[in-house]
Amino acid sequence: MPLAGGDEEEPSSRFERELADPAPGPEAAARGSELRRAVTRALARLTPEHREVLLLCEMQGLSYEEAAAALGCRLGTVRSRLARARWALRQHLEGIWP
Amino acid sequence: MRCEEFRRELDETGEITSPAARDHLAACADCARAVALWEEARAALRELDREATPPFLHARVMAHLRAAERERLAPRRPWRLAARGVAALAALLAISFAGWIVWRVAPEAPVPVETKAAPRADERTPEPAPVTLPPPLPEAPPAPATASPPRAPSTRPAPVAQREEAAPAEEAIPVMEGQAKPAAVAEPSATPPALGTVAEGGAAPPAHLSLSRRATPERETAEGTRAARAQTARQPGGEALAMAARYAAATRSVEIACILFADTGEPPRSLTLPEPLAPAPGAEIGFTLLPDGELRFDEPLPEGSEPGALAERLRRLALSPGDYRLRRDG
Repeated sequence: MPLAGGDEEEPSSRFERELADPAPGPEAAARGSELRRAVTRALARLTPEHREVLLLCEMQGLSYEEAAAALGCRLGTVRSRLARARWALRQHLEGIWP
Repeated sequence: MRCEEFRRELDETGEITSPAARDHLAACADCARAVALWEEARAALRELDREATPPFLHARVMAHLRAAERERLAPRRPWRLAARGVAALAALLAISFAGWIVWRVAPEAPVPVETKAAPRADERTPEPAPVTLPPPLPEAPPAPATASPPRAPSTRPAPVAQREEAAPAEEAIPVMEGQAKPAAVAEPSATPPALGTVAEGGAAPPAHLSLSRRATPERETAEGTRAARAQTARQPGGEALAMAARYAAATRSVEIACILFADTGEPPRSLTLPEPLAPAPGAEIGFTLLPDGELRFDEPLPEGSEPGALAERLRRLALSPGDYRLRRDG
């Protein structure tokens, strides 16, 4: 059965591509698990204001306007608070993550 | 762009978009490492969000909440049912008690009798008295042709409208409920007021408080008035007899406090007797109780008394043989 497109592909390469598991391997899975644990510890060290704005915008995917409405504060406050939260999270992560 | 400016833009926007930042990222290994760490951290945050809400979490939480709510309400339900039952029982008892009070108190009011000879309000005394009906008068004139014939005895009073149907002219006689003196009403020798004086003296009373009677020239005579009064009183279903019966029943149920003095040296005893059995106010009933249990009154009891019932009542006191005197207390 000819493949669409015209260029012939080796059957072995095609099977390898179709049968490849996109999930991360054991090493990557272990690293991802360790990273999530480190992020959780870093989140725990944030102030409540930084933690909630980070969870709303980065985890839940809310826009700045939606976060401002949810928190009951101005848009500029959300922007500045989110920038400080990112900076604090990176600082904590760089201290515990190699 | 310096590293501080690059990190500030990274913190403010969360991603690298400006060309200057991209150039710095390509040239600075530390900033590239910081961006890589941030991208991994952001991916980890989104993984945490997915892990934080496992499948069926909502259903499990809601099921747990519903179970907790049922458990919270379960122990209170019997108490609520019990409280409702107690409230319903209390309401039933209150209604029953109110009904009993009305039934018990209503007959004790003075019995009004509705006749033409009813005295005026200022001539009446509040003390009730039993109703004695006058004997039928043989000289009662025959009823007019337009009047309805005498009715057979009935336990239900004739409707006012039925009595009024053949009357060419009406006069209203007020019924002074709760104030009329029945004895004066039924006394045949009392001089009745002239026909129409009550209605003419003041405003007509409400329809439910008045009796209507014909005011024909024949009945404006004294004999006609007496005959009409006697006819009204003789009606078995009339209001007068009904009220008299209620008054008699109420009188019988009244208990009179009495004192029994013994000539045998025993201390006086207090007892209550029904009104018909009690001695008259200020009077004494003397009797002797023989050893064989026979009770003899010293004097015949007044007419209308019930010596048998009184003797039976006194025998129940388990008195010792001797002479006794009974009189009202106070």
